[in-house]
Amino acid sequence: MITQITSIFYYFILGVFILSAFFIIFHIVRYSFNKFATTLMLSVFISVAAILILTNIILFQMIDFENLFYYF
Amino acid sequence: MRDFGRYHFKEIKDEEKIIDVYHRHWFDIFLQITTIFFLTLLIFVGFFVFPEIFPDLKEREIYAAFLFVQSFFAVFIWMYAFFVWIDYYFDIWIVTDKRVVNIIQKGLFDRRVSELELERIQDVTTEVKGIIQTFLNYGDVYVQTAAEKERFIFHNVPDPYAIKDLIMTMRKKNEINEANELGEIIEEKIREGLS
Repeated sequence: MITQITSIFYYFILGVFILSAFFIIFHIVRYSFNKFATTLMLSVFISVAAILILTNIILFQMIDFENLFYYF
Repeated sequence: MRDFGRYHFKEIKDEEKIIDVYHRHWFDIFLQITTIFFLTLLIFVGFFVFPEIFPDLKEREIYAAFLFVQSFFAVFIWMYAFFVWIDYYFDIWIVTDKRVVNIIQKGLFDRRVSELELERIQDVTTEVKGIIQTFLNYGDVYVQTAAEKERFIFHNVPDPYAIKDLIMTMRKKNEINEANELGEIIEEKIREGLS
């Protein structure tokens, strides 16, 4: 039960993060007036954001919430 | 003069040349960048220091949760850093040989674009306030138009005096060009009338 509630809450926040990332990419692509800067910003943002979000999902799945809450 | 060939300003008119592009002075986002830097530092320091301060964190389950919280914090900081960057980078003033364009980006969902023809400019004023602005040479440039209430503001731009001079020079050039064009038209009409 605890795992399910935590998962729902986590995936909701993750969705907000992904949506924010989408809006950031949208702004960079749409409003940038310099091609070099666009390419640089997109490559830096997407690569780092993808690594961070994937790592975060993996780390979340590694947590055993039943045992974790037993500690508290 | 910097090369603006790489700049793709959507609303640019035919034969219009971009003279310069201005962003806010870097100090304007210094506080936010410093906050981001310290939060990032906290993650790195916390990774090594927190398990030593709180030995319970070394327990397998708690350590996984600790790493997850750190990672979550890192994602948050990364997103925040780009929100700050977008707010700064897309806030621009473009001076062309025909007009001044002001693009104001507030957060992600508030963007205003306004422009002012050089010929409508009546007066340009600069304002450099306080110790920091004086030492770092940045401030506001107010462009007054013929309309009484209309004012175009360059907020916290670097070297406001140079911007003021540039706008005034461009305005004068524009005025001379227009006078020359008008002279040519009149001359042509006179020739047509004579022949």
